[in-house]
Amino acid sequence: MHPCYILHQRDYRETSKLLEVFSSEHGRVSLVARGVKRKSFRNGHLLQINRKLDLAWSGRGDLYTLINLESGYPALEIQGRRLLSAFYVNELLMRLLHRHDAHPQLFRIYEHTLHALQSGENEERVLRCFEIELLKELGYGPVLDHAIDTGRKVEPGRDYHFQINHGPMEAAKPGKDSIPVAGNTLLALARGELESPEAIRQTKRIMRGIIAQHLGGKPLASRKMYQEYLHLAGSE
Amino acid sequence: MNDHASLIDELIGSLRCLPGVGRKSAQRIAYHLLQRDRPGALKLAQSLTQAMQGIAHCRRCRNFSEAEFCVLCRNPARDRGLLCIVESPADMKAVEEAGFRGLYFVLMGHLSPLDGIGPEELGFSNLNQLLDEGETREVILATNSTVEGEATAHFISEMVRNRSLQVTRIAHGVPMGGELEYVDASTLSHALSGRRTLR
Ligand SMILES: [Zn+2]
Repeated sequence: MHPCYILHQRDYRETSKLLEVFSSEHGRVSLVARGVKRKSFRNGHLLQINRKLDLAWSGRGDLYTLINLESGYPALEIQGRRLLSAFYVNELLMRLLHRHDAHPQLFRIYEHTLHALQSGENEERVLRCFEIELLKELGYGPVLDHAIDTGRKVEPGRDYHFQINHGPMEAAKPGKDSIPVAGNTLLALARGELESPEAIRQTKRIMRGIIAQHLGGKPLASRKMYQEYLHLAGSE
Repeated sequence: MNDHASLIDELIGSLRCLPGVGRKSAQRIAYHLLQRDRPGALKLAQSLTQAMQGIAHCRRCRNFSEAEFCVLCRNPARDRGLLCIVESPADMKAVEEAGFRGLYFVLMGHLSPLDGIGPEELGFSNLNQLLDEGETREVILATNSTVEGEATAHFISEMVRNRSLQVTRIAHGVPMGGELEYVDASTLSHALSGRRTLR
């Protein structure tokens, strides 16, 4: 049995489900869970996203068959708007992880992120910290400690221009899109300790730019839904 | 070319769209109909055509209906102040069997961004139109007790926040992860009577 989280699931045929799971030992795995929607199938109701489960599967190729499941872990209860953030975190993993690439460290970070979303920590900070850790783990982590145009160390009191494909620069490059960022933010990000609202805001723009580079032009559905949520919840 | 064989193959292929029917069963059904029940099969073919062409969605509640407004929405005996929001027609039937006597709104799914199902696909704008009619006193969120069902319920509760409505969520009683259509009527009846206010 492998500890797993279900990132996404949908109904398949009448009584089955297709699962995209994130496993601590095997990375992202696609499973078909046959007959789990039947009344007679015990534990089928445990197959919920954001819930830690022990799963066993068999088969070959890209789609395995679920053969056993157990839940020895307490269920998470992420509430309200934070559920939409959990969709976002799941979608990032679905879009950026290759199947069968193991990321045990990222599994722990993901688990920590879900618990932080449940416990009511600052949502923006939780998401930004997840994004930077995810990028680092996948080898897409940006340069944060020195300016790429001068090679000098980033200083806390100084302002920089962040070029998405390259890193922080001391001088603005004319005609190029760059994101203004404080040296303090870069250093906090390198430590994984975002505290000030300003640092979180600046980081959001940088993360969004870098992540977009790796999504191949297709936008994130969960972000679109979140924007619709803000719009609908704010109107009337 | 053997026309006979190709017609049979086509029939067998078509029968496989039925839930739970694989190649073997499809073959069995096809031979049975051809050998033993041609009148029944012709009647089935006719009913299928009529139903598929004649049944659309109720303009008010989105449930299946052959008229512009379904029988339930037109029934003057229903309590028009209560609106129960469910994920599917099967869920609606389950709530109906639990003794609910208000009206419904059927989402035909739940929020699932990765499958491209968002507020638009679930008819949230129709829901707003329905609430604009002003008859509803209470919205009862009876989406499934799954993560997607909870997210859907939360989304709707935020969307209707500024209307002068009571918004309730059916109570637990339905097991976590349980889907309404598979829960017995008494459990569901408890869940309905123990619903709680979200705001
Ligand atoms: Zn109707």
